[in-house]
Amino acid sequence: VKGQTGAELVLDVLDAEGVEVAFGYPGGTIMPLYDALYRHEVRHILVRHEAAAAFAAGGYARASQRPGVCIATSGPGATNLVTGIADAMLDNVPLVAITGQVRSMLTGTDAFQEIDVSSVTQCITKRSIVVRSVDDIDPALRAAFRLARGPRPGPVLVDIPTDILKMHANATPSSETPRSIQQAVASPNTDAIAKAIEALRHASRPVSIVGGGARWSGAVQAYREFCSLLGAPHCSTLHGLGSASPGDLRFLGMLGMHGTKRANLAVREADCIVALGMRFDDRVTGDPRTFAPSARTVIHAEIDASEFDKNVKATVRLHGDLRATLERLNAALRRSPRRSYDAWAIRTLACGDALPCDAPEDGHLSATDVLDAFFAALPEDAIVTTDVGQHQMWAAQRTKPRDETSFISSGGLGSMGFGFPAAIGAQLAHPDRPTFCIVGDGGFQMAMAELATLRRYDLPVKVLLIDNAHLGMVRQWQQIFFGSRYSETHLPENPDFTMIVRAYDLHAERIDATCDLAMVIRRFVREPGAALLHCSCHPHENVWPMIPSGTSVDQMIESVPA
Amino acid sequence: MRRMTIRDARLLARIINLADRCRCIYTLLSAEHHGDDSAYHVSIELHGAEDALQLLDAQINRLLANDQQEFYR
Repeated sequence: VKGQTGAELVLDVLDAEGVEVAFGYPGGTIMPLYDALYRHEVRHILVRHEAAAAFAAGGYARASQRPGVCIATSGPGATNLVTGIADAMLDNVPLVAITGQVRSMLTGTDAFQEIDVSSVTQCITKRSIVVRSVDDIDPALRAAFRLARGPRPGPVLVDIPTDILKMHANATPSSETPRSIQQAVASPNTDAIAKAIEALRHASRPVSIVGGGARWSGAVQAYREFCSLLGAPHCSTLHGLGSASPGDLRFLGMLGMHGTKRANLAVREADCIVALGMRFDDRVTGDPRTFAPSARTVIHAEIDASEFDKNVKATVRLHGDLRATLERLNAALRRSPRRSYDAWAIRTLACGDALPCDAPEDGHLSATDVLDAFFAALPEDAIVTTDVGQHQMWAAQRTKPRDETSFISSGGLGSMGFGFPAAIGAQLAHPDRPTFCIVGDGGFQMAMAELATLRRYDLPVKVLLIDNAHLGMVRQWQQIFFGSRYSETHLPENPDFTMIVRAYDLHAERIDATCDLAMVIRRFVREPGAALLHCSCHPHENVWPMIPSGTSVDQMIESVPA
Repeated sequence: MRRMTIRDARLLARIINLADRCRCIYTLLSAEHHGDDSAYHVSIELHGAEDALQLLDAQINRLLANDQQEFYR
């Protein structure tokens, strides 16, 4: 009796791992898997470019906190996944990429669509696995899911030759159940916890900074309790947004290059930094030598020991799962006499929460006005994805996400073209939640073929397109750092995006400064199906404040230098 | 001299790439596969500026942690 084919085994593992949705694009060597998919329950989402498959799988993973799965054929299909895989690597997103490969006997012959994608992806995956026999499919894929989940999540690639997908297996698949991200727990030792508590006891001006680790370790509730027990001001990296309790008055907003003034000033004045699940990225620290210059103590809680001292030296290392770490810190704080940091917190809030902006008044729509109106009208349960650039930073400054799944952005890699497919993934992860994508005109044109995906699956994703006819962030840097020499950043030939959207039989509307902004945005937000709101905005509006790359908070600028 | 045990031999290529990227060099590299434990026993001598070596060391530690966590070639 013949066993299952390799392709059927792949789908069995996806089933066993709880995969409900996979994103992909068929092609020559992966055809046996698509043939098996034809009569299988795993929902396959056909994208229009493999890059979108990887980004959508990343968006799905970020919204669902489960591994995303993307599928492509060998050669160009596999290489088109690369940016999305790298994006997942730098943002610690659990992702399993499955690629077809040329027949085993052709390996190494430079066959049609043969690329050694395992080597190509070695430095942007936790592991790139080559399957050598049909009996290895089950253990290899299960290992891929375990690795992708953690302890520090990330992408894993599994490359399977097409003959192995067609071959019949002898082995019986294992009945192993998947491990959740939270189960891979290491906890810091008692001594380290005691040192952290002691450091906090001596601190007068502590500030905690939360990063993406809170999202992936399921630590958000523990973090909120920590903030409440400590009573000190706190701020967030881009990926930590959504960790703080909505409405927490001690939350100072996002830190870093385009972070809030008060978050950056508080970190400058702090005598103790509590860094939780964050890696002191250069967009957060600026020049690491001048980061938090008054801090006598840096308590760093991190799952990946290789992050300690990489960018900023830690005086107390809390190596382990963030949730377990915070639960132990919280228990210790409950036993300790409570200190009041109210005066310090009031001081950090003194400079207010107003964001400096250019406020153009020359007949153009202001992008920041659009985003202010958008976030004011947004339902509480909304998911917002962003692309990369000015709109991303304006959104990060203004968003007030209810939880860690509500604001999704490409941080580490900063991949343009991410936002729209990521919204498709997020919508599929949470069909019941309204899902929005904020995107610029540059990034949307990298991914707008996925309008077909919205149409095909009738997905109610809403796109807020901030069109300033420029690659705005690059233009801003050219204005400030390159003598206003606007090299290749002006996009005057942008199309009428509403016509493109309508060609897919989707709803679209275009607005400019003459519209009743609040009313239009409210209507857009309530649109029941897919929609695009094309906002024709001022071409030269900038993101403020800004700490120029590699400098310190003392060099923060709030308008174009004279 | 740094000694390590790895299961995925391709990590050697990755470590050499990383050393180059961190502006370090290797002056000695040996890898033996005994077959009994399916592992490679590696010795590598790395040179470079102190901070570069420290960064490289952390990156190698991360690769080794992943290699130890789960191995499937």
